[in-house]
Amino acid sequence: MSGDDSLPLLKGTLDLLILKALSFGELHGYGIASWLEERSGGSLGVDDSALYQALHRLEARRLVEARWGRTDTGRRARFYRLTAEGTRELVERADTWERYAESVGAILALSPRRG
Amino acid sequence: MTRPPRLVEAVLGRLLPRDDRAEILGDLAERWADRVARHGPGIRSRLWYTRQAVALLVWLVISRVGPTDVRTLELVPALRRLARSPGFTSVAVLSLALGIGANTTVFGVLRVLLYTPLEVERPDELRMIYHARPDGFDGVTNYGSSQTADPETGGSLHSNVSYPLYEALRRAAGPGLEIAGFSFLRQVAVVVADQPALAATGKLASGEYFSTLGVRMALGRPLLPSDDDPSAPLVAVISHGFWHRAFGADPSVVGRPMLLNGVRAEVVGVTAEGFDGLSPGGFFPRTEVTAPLAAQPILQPRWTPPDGSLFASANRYWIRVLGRVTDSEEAAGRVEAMGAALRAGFLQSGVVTGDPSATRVRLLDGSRGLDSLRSETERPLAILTGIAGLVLLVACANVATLLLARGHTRRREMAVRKALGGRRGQVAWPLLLECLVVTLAGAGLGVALAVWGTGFVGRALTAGLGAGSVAFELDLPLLLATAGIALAAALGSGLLPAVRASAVPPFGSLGSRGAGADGRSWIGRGLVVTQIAVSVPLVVGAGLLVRSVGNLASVDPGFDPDGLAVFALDPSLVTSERREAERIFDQVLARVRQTPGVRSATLIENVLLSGWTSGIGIEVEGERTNILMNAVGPDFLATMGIPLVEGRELGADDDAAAEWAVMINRSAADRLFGGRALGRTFLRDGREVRVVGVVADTRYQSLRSEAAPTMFDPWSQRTSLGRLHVAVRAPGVAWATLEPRLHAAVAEAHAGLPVTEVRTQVRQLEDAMRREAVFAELLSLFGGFVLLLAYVGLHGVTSYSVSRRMPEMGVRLALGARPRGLLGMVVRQVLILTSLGLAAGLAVSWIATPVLGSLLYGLEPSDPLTFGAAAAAMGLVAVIAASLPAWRAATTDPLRTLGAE
Repeated sequence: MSGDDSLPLLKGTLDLLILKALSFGELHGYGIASWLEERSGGSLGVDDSALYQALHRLEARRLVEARWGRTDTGRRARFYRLTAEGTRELVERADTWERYAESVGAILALSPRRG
Repeated sequence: MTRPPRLVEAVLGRLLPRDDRAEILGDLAERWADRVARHGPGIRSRLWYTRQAVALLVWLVISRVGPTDVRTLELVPALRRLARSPGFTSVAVLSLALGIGANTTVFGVLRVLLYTPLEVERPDELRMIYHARPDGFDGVTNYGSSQTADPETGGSLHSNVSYPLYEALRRAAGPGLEIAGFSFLRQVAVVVADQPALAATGKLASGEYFSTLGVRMALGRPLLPSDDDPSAPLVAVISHGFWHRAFGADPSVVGRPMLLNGVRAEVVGVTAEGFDGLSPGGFFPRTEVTAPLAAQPILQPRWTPPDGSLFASANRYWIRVLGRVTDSEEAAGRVEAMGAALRAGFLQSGVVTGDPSATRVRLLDGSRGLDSLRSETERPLAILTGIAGLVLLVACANVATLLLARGHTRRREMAVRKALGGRRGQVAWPLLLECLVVTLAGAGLGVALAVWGTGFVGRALTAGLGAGSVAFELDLPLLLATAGIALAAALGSGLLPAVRASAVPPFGSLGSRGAGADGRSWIGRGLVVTQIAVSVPLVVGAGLLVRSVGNLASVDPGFDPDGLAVFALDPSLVTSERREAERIFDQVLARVRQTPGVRSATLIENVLLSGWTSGIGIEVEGERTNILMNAVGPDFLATMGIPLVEGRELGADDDAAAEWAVMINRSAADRLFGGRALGRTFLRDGREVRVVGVVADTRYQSLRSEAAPTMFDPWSQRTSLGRLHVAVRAPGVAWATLEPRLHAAVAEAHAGLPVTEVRTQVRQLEDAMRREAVFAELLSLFGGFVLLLAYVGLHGVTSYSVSRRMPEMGVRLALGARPRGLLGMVVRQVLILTSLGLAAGLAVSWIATPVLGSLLYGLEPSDPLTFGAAAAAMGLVAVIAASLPAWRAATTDPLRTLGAE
């Protein structure tokens, strides 16, 4: 779902966003991507390959686990959900991110000094 | 609901691993449905689907055959590993550098010598216009005409026409096929301001020449039809190179005067850089000065017929034709019309008395101009390509062997990776990455080698062909070619070892001695045999060429080249008076003889061993035969160092007024006069000539061609005097001292006369052998290199075999076995491999060496001595490479080897 005018994702943030998405419940691959697009108002586009890569990464680090299930249209899909470890990771990383954003935002908000 | 694009989905499905297939295809199908719902099922959606599929596949490849950490590619650890084994790294990098460099060099040279089109607009529209002549065509004098084979019928095509015929052709041509006429000038004397006279090569060209060719001008204007008027002032266009050479790149050169053969001419334009006329060198020299056709009486006065103007003459053929096709249908019609014009012209001028209908006009490809460099260098380049390919193969085989051993040494690490869940491609990745890094480094070094190499090889191949302006540069196509070669090399060397290395069983079942010994070793053995087999032809080739060069160098030319210098002089550039020309030659000879250090000097028409000969038909006792000839001056024998066999030498009295006397060589005396030639006469051009002296045989055209019957006639008795060479014997004088003195001597005799082609006879001899010498040097370099690689490869294989057997040997030694017997086994195995490789290699050499045919001299391509020497060299290398590790092992304490377990 890479829209042509979407914002590029900064490195490392995709993992965080996926964890956040899954904190609301179980989702399959496409479900995560469309959740992210909707919630960001269309401005965050996620490449398929990046998504699966991130999911594999998270699975390897045991932050998410997966099972086979059925979607609402009845087709088979792999559903992901957070593990306990994943939930802890999400809290920690989200906190770090917010502090980071705050500091950067504060500096950028400064108006130029005159004189 | 529309399904996703079937083909893409199917391909994606097949390539995805089973585990991910259902998930990914399903998700993608759902997304497709969404997208179709929003944007419709048109081409944009299908493209989107394809894009997604491709991106997924790329990720797939990387995740399967690639580092576990995509971001760093595990590059730094790989570099560290390579740094820790400098032996492997340096051998691998150097081998690949030489292999890749050799191929890049060949590609670069090939490109320039064979494929570069002319620096003009749309060169593919250019045509060289030739014609086929009917039977019974006769009575025509050709000036610098050439013939070529008709690509369609195989018959002869001729290049030149007369001026009236050219006019007729021009009327028949027109929009769709524009034509222009031109003629080559071998030499023009150019004087700029008060500098010494220069010799320039050039062309006479019609007013449409530059516009038809589509040459860009750097300064000024091209020649125009208005310059064709004989009453117009003489103007000329000069080349970019000549502008630098004669005018020092003066930006205000347009309008400056210069003397062309003593006549004032104005420079009206300078052609753009990169254009040197229709030929960069070879048989047709590159063009420095272009003047209008109308300047012929000044610039090429020898062609002017005694009874009038060359332009009116119907049977003097001196004009070549080129054309540009802008509309191929129109052009076809014009070609027909031109054919008809030729037919009419032939009949009218009486050069054809019978049926002229076989006359045809043919348009040949002109995008590369007159391609004489190509034909001269095609064969050597083909040979070089083969050699470069072989070198790369050897390098790859060697690196593969080394990588194989390296992979086996690291099998524990591989097994661990596998046990940690790595896929096969991920296990092999470290090795593959090392291979890629080494190849990249090799390619970089190879490109550096190629930059030097293309210049060297290119100049060597075109030596003596006058192609000094051929530029060999490093640009994008060359780098792309290098990248392609490097990639092939990397895959060729690295794939097999990587695959082999990743086939380790998981850690648990790994014994301390390592598993998979047998399956692995036959690949290693195969690689060694291949490497040796491919190396042998290079060594054989080197041997053949080195011996050929030695043979050529020891050919007795029949004269004494040491201390002999030659240069060319053409008085017809500055005077059309016969007497004046003779006087100039006499004066130059006199001045040169007085030059300090000069013992004697003479005139000679064709410098010996320069490739140029003259010949003539004579009649000996009623029988017509051909004989080679060379016009010579007084003191010829003393200057050249040729012994007189009988009779006397030609002297100053043998001038035009005396009876015609000549010297002939021993071959002529034997073959034409049965050995008793002195005093005999024969007919030449209907006139009686007497043999007054017989001289020893010399080589004439080249070192390779045996002495043929040759006549040496006095230069002053020739009916037309053109260019002659002055030969000077100055033994013991350094060339740096002699050369300026010779220039000064000529300048004293006649200031406006250019001295050209000044060189020593020894240099001429070297040039005659240059191509063979270059090949001998290159092959020796490569031959030595592959022998070294063979040593490295065999040493590695032996060391590895010995180390594998160490534990077993340790036990046996402790139990009392003799070291020699055990190690003899290892050495024997290696020598068997070598023999297999040698046998295969010798067989390949046997088949391949005839390719070198024209470069060899004095020996057959299957020369047994050379083959034997090459086999012995390789055998010696193998014996040493195999013995050293075995000897070292034999002197090791057996308990230590046991302890290592």
